[in-house]
Amino acid sequence: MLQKLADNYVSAAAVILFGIGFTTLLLNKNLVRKIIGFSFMDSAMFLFLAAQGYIEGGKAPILDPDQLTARTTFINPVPAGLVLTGIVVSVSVTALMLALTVRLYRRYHSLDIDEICRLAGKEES
Amino acid sequence: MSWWADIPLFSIILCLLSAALCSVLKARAARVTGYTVLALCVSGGVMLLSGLLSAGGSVTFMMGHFPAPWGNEIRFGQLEALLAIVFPLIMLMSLLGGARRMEEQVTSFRENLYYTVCLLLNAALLSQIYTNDLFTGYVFLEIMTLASCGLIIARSKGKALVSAMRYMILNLIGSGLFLLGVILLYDVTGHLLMENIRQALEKLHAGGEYKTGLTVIIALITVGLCVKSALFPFHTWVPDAYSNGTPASNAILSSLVSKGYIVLLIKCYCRVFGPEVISGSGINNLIMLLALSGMIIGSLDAIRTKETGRMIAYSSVAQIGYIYLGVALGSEAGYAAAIFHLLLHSASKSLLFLSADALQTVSGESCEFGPLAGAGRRAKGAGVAFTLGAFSLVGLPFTGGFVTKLLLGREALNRSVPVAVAVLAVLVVSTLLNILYFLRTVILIWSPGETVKKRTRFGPAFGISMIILGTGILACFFLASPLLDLICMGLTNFS
Amino acid sequence: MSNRFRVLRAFFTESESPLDTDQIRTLTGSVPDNRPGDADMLVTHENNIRWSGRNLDNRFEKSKKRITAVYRVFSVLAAVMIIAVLLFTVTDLPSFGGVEKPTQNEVQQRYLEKGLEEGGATNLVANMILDYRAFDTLGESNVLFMAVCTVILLLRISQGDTDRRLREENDDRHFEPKNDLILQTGARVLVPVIQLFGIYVILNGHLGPGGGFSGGAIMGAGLILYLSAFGFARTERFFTFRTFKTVSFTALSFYALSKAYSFFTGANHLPSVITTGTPGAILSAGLILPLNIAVGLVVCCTMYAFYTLFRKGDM
Repeated sequence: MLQKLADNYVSAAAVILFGIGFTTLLLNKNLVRKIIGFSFMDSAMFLFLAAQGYIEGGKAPILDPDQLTARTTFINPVPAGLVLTGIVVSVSVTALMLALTVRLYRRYHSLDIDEICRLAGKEES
Repeated sequence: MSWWADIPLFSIILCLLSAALCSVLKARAARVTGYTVLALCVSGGVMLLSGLLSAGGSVTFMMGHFPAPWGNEIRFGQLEALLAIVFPLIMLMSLLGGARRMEEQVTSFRENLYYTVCLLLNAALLSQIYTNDLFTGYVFLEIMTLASCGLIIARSKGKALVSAMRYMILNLIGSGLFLLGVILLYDVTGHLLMENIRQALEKLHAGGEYKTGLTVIIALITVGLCVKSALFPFHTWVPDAYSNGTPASNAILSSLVSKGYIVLLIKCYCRVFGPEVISGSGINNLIMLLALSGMIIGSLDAIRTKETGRMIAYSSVAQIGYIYLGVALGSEAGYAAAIFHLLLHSASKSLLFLSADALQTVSGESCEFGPLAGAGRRAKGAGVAFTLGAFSLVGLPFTGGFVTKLLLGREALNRSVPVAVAVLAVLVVSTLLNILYFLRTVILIWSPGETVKKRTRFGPAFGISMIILGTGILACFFLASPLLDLICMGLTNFS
Repeated sequence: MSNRFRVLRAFFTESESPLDTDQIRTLTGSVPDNRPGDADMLVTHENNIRWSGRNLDNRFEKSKKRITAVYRVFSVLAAVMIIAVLLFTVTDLPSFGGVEKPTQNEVQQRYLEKGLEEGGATNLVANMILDYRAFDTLGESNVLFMAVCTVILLLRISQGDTDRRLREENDDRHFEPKNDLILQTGARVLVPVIQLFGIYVILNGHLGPGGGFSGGAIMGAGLILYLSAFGFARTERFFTFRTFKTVSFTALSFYALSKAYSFFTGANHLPSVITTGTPGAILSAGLILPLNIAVGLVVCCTMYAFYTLFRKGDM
């Protein structure tokens, strides 16, 4: 089992990063750190995907127009495309979260989610 | 291929196009565009359903020049067509019903973007209903997440921002888990299209390969989607998110967005994993446990709260429990009950949120219960609508909720004795608790209270939305058997 | 309801305005010694905890500390548990870099072997995302559009709020030195190069590494550098909110319409006028080049819009 883990070291690193990011997003109280946790989680997922697409000795799937007939080993193009989609989604979500954080900070002068909830609760009681 | 088979493609593209268009229009023009496009989607859905009913079976539609497993695909049968009628219709009704608040709470400066968000959400919901590709499902699921956040923050108030933040945090976790599940699934099967994954999984299941992997994948996808659709105990974000936006947003969020995720989950179970893998993994037991606890705890929370909006939001937790109970029963009748309740709950929840908002307007804009006394007498239409919605969620006869409880109870009797007893007991207790908090409110709004000389007019848009949603709830009872036949026919063509 | 709260409520209906010291005193019961202004967005976590900690009495602070400790233990446990489960799953997965795994199937084989013939681009990933699986990518560009819409909803200051607009415009150069010689000289040299490179990456997306998303991000970065060096007075001559709206609307509708055409012809097995052309030529690969340009424009505008919205609440 450990041997298998050592073979899949990239995936192992990716899931460790995923766990760290997941926990940061879920349990850290600072909003900016939560967003960093989210970025961790997504990057870990991209690393995981990229690792799945890799073939020993494979090249990036871009053909050379001069040698179209030459046979080369390419890596799997599917994960590359999925990672691209994932990155765009991650950028969008990060931008939205940061904008929300800016608004919340302007209003409550705090980045601590518990503190913000407390102030928001008091606001209309 | 018949002409109607192009309708799903064109409804999705129309929504995407008009969403971009709304972002450059003025508020008024954007509103008209939004209503028109949603109405077109509804009529498209009707034509699709009639076409599919006469043709029978389901249609697989290539999105591009390449068949599965290379290109994207959408696939639709009677069930998908039914959902594609109901979802845009309810969104349209929620927008109409909440239109009177738009000016005041969203401001015309951003109102056009509100319709952009709604139309993109509709496009995402439709894609979620039609898609036959798991990764497409993920992409549109993220659009739904962002769109729901946009709907909450459209109202500029501190609490809306806080609830949007909490909503985003848990939903991002849900998306993350779902995506990881999809990636792992791709890794062990090598496919992203649902039917191809299913074939690969059948081989793996027969060969007994990747056993742990499969269990973890099922768990990741289930938990991810459960977090996003607010199954107990992942419901902590619900009361804030569903009660702090503008009424139209509350109605859309509670009645449509969570349902979109459930549709995707049912699709994963029926079309991707298949009943054998699912029942082998034992995930149904977990879901049933969570659903039953949710039905009780959601209702208890609803009793405890002091605000109308939060009460309706908490009752969503209980109602989502009913839907998941149907899913957890795992049989075709169970799924039919789940989908029936999903439709009914969409209609009832929008009706409740919109009519409760109207009742608050005539009671001095207070979110608490006290001032609501006699609100039904001050605004008769809204009072009747609220009563109808409440009765339907309690499950009184002549409303759709009665049928759901009957279906769930009957299906539970086919199970082993402990399961049947547990399900029936929880159904009874949950109904009693529902009666407690819904009837309390209904009695309150009809009890004598202060009368106001000046009558508040809510406008024809509000009236139309109340009438159509109310008719839907009644139709769920009086037309229950044709509707259930349709759902069952759809389910056989679904997987 | 006490008078104090009535005042507070009236205040909070104007969401954009920050709480001032008085409001904070009413809410937290004490005054922060150094109220961070709008400009100090990223105060550190430590500062923050200290700031809020001082407001609470001792007992509350103790219970808060205890909760924090429980939180920490819980986080570590949760992280370890998730990581353990996932690591266990990883041991069950196909091995890294191997050829014998489920993903090495007919799907990727066709993308690699027939991609050039069917899609026309020598960049096989471009073929995959813009032709074979174009519906995903259509959704993806709409995710970006959705995000920019929500950021506008959150951060754009309304036309009527002249006070705030003026304040933001005056504060606008708060972070950077005004008319910095080094920055401006650097930008004069770099911005054209960056823009050219961005355009190259977009136009070359079907022939080599690159494409609309990466090229658009590069061009957006170039615009941001130009803005940082020369300020809004110069960028507003060619890029306003109107430009943003027009460009993203045009690009997105072109994207949706052209893809609708290709989906429609594909699904109904109709002949399509789009041809793949000579492999390797710049005008080849059917729709991939125009789609890359459309995506590039959307991404460029979006990146620039994110920056300006965060910086002054408008473009």
